[in-house]
Amino acid sequence: MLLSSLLPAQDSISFASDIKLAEHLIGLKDHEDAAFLLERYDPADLDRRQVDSLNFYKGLSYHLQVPSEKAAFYFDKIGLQSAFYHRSKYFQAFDHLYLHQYDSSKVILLQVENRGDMKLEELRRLELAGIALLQRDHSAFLDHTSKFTYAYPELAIEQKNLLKYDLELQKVKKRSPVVAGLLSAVVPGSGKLYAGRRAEGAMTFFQLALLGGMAYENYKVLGPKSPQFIIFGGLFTVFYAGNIYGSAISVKIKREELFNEINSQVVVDLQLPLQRIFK
Amino acid sequence: MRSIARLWLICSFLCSAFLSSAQTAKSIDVPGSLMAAGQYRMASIEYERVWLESGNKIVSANALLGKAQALKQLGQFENAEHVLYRISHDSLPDSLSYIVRYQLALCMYLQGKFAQAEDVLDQMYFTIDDSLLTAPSLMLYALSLNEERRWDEAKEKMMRMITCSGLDSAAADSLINVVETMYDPQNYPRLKNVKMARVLSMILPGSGQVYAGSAGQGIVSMILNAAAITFTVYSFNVGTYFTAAGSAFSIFGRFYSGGGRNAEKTALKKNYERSKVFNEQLKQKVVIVTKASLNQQR
Repeated sequence: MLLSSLLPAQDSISFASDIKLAEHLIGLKDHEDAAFLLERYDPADLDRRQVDSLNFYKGLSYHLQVPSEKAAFYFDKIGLQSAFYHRSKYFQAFDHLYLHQYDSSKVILLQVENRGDMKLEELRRLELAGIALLQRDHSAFLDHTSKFTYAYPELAIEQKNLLKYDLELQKVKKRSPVVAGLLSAVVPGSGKLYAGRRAEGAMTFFQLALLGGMAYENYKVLGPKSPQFIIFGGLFTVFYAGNIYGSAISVKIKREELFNEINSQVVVDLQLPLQRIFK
Repeated sequence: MRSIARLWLICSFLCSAFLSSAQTAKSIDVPGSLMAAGQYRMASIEYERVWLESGNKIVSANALLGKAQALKQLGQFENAEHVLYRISHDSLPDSLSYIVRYQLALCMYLQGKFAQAEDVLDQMYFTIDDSLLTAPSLMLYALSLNEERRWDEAKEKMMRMITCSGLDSAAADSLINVVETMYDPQNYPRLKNVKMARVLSMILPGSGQVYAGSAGQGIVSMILNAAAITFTVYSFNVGTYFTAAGSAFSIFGRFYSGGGRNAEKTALKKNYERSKVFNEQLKQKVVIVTKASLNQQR
């Protein structure tokens, strides 16, 4: 009795009921439970339309947990004839994009058949422009954005945001790790200032000035063989060398931080229109 | 985690009564069987199906109550709390509304949200007039207050639970005596004054930690601070004034302020440990008194 209730009901009424329940669970953000419910079904026992529904809702349950290969796998199974076709393809493209598989995402977007739907065409341009920005392909970005019509409120804000991010990316200064290291060798902390880390630079300068001053004073007053000079001199040398290396590294880190921040904003702006259009 | 599991067992005698009433509706038989089979995840999904397909307010409330129960079994107390918040109390009978609110407070308690659990119970006493019905929940209130070290108030709740339970005077007096013994102020754990620990550490580095019950840490702190001061004085005497100022500013300053914070933390930790031991003993006794009170009421 209990076992029979655990097994998936194979008739169309109970399948429809499970799909309705999965939809409801997704609405409650119980995505894991929705996936758990649908994973009990064997596609071999279902007809073509049911398989499409099953794959779509499984894909959606995983996609909404976190865009993933698994979600993309189920979306990929949805055919052109399905009512879920467009949602699946755009979500699948986003899953690949989220996983930094930009080329796969582009292929899906270029292959999707929008059947003359102008809003979907605009959405495709937005997604492609976003990918171009993530790939730092400026000419492709300009090519896609030049075709923006800004005619759809669901997309217009994000379209303008992409142009803003492009400007921000251009403003990110190309700083040299060698220059940062050299600056820090001359004036400790200045390399970090150059890298854009002001507070850290000031703190480093203060610490090294203190250590350097103490080492110098002990050298002058107690001589080069005094334990105080050896300790403070040693500490100063270690921190001084470490600061040069740290300044060179911090240029790269700061640059990556800025890029990651902009990339995250781009990804969010590519996801929001999908949620609005395919509610 | 072990403490939560123990508490879970302690509270189960109240929950089991709720469960049996929640599962009386015929339409929730399937998730009920899954619960009995220990299939809590599937049961929670099936309870959701009952909620989705039911147009009846009582059945819907019972379904969400069942789902919360399943989630609690899975240790998902926060999710259970969210599920219970979905239940509308409009036109629910007091008996069911009581169960929902009690379960909500219990979920909060199990998450360590003691003040919120108390708020939910206060709201319940305000909404439901039947003190005989709500009396058992005073146990949960007392447990929450214990965790907040408000033992005198917890005692008052336990006393109220006994007087509201409609027991005859002999039985009530006997239980009241037990509660009086449990909450004898002489047995309360001696808590350290956190501010005092910090102040002592500021006056004599390390003494705050010693006061807070961590002599080892206190001695280490004293030695470090003494070494820093000695080095500062020595540097001054040999004419390295900059070094003296630098060591006073950085080394001693760091040990001194760090020692104060450490003394405060040590006192807090000690208070937590002492309260925990006391509260663990109280938990068992509170439940025994509540059980006795309910049994004699029956």
